[in-house]
Order: sequence, then structure tokens, then C-alpha cells
Amino acid sequence: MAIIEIQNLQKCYGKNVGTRDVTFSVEQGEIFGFVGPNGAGKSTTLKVLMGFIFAQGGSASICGQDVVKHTKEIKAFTGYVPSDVRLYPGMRVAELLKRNAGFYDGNLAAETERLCALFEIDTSKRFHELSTGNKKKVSIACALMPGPKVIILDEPTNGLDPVMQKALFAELERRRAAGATVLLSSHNLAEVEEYCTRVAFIKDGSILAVTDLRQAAAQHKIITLTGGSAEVPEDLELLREEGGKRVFRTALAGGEVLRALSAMVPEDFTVENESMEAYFWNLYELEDAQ
Amino acid sequence: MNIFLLEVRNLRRSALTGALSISGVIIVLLAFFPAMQSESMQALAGAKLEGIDEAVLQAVGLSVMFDFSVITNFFGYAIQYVTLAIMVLIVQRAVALLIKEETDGTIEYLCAKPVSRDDIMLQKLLAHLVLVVCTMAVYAVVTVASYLAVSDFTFSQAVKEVSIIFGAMLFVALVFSAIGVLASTLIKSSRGVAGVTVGLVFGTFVLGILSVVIPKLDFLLWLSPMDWVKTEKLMSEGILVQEWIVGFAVIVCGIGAAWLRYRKKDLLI
Repeated sequence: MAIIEIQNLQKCYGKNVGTRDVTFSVEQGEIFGFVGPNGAGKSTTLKVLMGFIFAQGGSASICGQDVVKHTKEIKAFTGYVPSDVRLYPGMRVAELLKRNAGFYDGNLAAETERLCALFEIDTSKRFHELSTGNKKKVSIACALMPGPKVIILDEPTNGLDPVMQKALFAELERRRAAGATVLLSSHNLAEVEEYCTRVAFIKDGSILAVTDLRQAAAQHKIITLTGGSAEVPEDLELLREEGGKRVFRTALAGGEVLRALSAMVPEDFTVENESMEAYFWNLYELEDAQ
Repeated sequence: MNIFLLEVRNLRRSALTGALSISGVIIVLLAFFPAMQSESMQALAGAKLEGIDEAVLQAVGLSVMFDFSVITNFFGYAIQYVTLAIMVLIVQRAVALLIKEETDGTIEYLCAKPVSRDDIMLQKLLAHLVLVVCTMAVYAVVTVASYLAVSDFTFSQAVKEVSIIFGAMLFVALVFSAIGVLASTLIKSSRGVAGVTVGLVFGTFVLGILSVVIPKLDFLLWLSPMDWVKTEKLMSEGILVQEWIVGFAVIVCGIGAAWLRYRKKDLLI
């Protein structure tokens, strides 16, 4: 079941295009990656979803509810972490968290305490005294505190140390397993590759592809050869040559790869699934070429 | 009520500082009143005023027959400049009411909570109103106490006169606030707050002066709320029906337009 649905979203800022044509959907219980360069339209899309700005064309809904008409209802079950966290600077973290809990029904004290312990949040400090990473942790705690069934994160690991990044993704994975849906906008291809099941790639305001990472990984392999004959089978695409090594990309399956390699008789070789980063570059270079 | 409480919390310090400063000015001004009752001061003031053109005197809220030994006259003259300061403080808060959160980026947090734009607007307006009423009440209490200390007014006389002055001032503050809140939805950054505030308060004040000095422009008086609360006029005529009508129209139109604009606008984050 699609939890987040975006159809032909268009948003312009005067003459500048924010999004030209954004269409994708996020299924229940998945961690969905949203990847693209700066200014591609990621944040614009998230801002429309959160009702901060209004699209000029297309539609967006969360749990079947239109993001413009039902923004208040949607936010009751949606947690949002912005890329640049700005909260009330003079307020102590404990007060911020208490006031944040006041926006939701029920007693969230226990969950707040658990999140503070998990992310090692110092609640006695004023917000402006915190480092970028600690500000981000407070924002994450504010978003996760009410137990949202939809979690939207814009560059959540910016400023977080590796330990906290791991803690965040463990928490997201735990919530995903419990049925929550996560939309993760990120520049960090490694984290998207590690944690997301599907990814939407955006460039210049348009979606280039929505890819199932498990299938994409199986689609292409990267072969690195040392030595071997100069004659190259047709199915191997030479990417680069460096330090006596040749790097090929191929769509051949396992057995066929072995046959191709045996024909070339290399001194040494490695075969690995194409990385998310390589996939990203191929996709964007292909788009540029077109 | 969460946004209301948050807003009051965020504004309480600046509101308190403003209220203490203005209260101090009121106390100091009224402390001069006993000195104004001496015959030599009255003669000096009378001599100075005689040489000034009547239109100019009228423009600054005076007349040749002005008697500074009457506390109503003395305070009425002095309070018009204090009123300017009070209005600047109030309008500044009104203009910053919505745009400040956008410039500071905190609106991204607030808007991600289960609240609508209407909730944000309503609760912020309510917080602003409460602070305006509270600060006016503080000024009124301070003025009544000062009246009792420096004049022979009875408590009920002092309360009656001060209520008229600050009641009218509250009305004008709400008129200015409505325009300020509308400006808050139109400007691009809170860096524009000071300019809009000064332009609005002093601009309308100057319109009032022009309306008195240049008879052809007397219609401008309706656009100068500062002239509605001149004490001499308040004590004799109160707020005129036309002023009530213009004032309420500005409040309704200003808040209504701000509401419509805020509902539809892209937040600047």
C-alpha cells in the first residue's frame, strides 16, 4: 500500500524551477531513499509534503490524505527532521522537548527519556549552546517522540558522528519493522545503499529513475582485471584503465562472467556488484549526455 | 494553546523590558509636574507659547491657553511622545509576529507539528493581544499611582482619567497592530521590521501634523490614529464615531487580509 504518493509535482520560485515533474510513491514499511545533487528539488518536494510551500501543479498525499487540505491531520502521524535544524535558541533542551510533547496527545515522557538516552542528549543545555550534531539529535528526538507512522528526514546524518548515525538507522529500522514508513533524503550514497530498499533519483527538478536497489545491484557487475589479453568480449564495457588495471562494467550473469574472464586469461581479477555510487554516476552522466 | 504559551514565553522578556522602560519614563515625567505648578514656570511656558504660530501649536497638541499647572494638560502633552514610543514597541512586535519565525527558521519546526496555519495565526494574535493589554494595564496602574502621588486627584478621578487615556491608546494600538500583522505577512525578512515600524508610526504621525498645518489636507486626520488619542480632544470629545468606524474597519480588513495571505503563502524557509 502506498503511504506517500506524489504525482507530477511542479513548483517554481519565480523564474527558477524547484520541481518540474516529480512522481514517485513510497510503500508502507519501507525506507525509501531520495537522492540528487544540490538544487535538484529534494527539499522543495519535502517542503510541499510538509505543507510549508504550495505546489503549482500535480498532487501529493500521505496515507491517502491531500497534503494541502489535511496538513494538520497528516502531521499528527508524521515526523519530520529538517536538514538545517533551527529551534528556539534561548530555550533549554528539556523545555523544548516538553513543549514538543505538548503538541501531541498522550504522555510521551517515557519515550522522550528513551530517545534522550539513545542519542545521548544533554537536556540541561540551551539550544544555542549545542553543536550542529547535537542540535540534529534534538530535532530527531522531537520528530520520533510521538511514534509517527511516517518519518520524513532531510539529510538526517549531517553533523552526526558515526556512532549516532548507526543509532539513528537502528532506530529507523526498528520503527520500519513495526510498520513505519521512512522517506530519507540524502547526499550520502553509502547510507542510502545500506538502508534503503528503493531510491528515487532526482535531477533538475525531474525524477530520473526510481530504482529497486536489490535488483539494480544484481543488474551490473564491476570487473577489475590485471593483465590478460587485449581482446575484450563485446559484453564488457571498459570504464577506465589505471596502473595496469582495467575496470569493466557488464550486465552478464555469474557464469557468463566467468566464461568471459577465462577467454581473457587475466593474471588477477575481482568481480563485485556495481555500487550505488557507480550507479548514480552512470545515471547522471547518461542524463547529461542526452 | 501550545503556540500561545510558546509565543508569550518568547516575547515576555522584551515586553517586560519595554513596559519597565515606559513606566520609568511616565514616573519621571509626572515627577516634574509639581515644578510646573509654580507661577514662574507657568509664566515662562506662557511666554514661550505666545510666540508660536497657532497651527503649529495645534499640530503638537498645544494651544496658547494651555495651562501646564493642570495635570491633565501637562500629562496629556507629555504622553503624546510616550505614546509614540509605546506604539513603536507594539507595532514592532506586530510586524515581527509572523515573519520572525520564518527568518529565524523556527517556523519549519512549528509547522511540522499538528497545527494548521490558522492555529498559528490565531494563537500568535492572541498572545500579542494579551501582551498589549497587559502592558497597557501596567502603564495605567503606574500612571494612576503617579497621579495620586503628584496631584490632588482622588483615586476615582485618577482611574477615570487614566482609563480614558489608556483605553483610547489600546484601541489605537490594536489599529496599528492590525496593519503591522498584515505587513508581517508581506515582508520578506524580519530585517524589515524596524523600517516598517518607524514608517508606519511616524508616517501616520506626520500625516496628522500635515492635516493640521495645511487646511486642505485636513482629511488626513482620519489616517492618523495618533491624533485620535490627543488628551485634550479625548477629555472633551472622546474617540469620535468616525474614528471608531475607521479603526474597526482597519482592524477587520488588516487581520482578514493577513489571515488570507498567511494561509496561502509559501513560508520563507
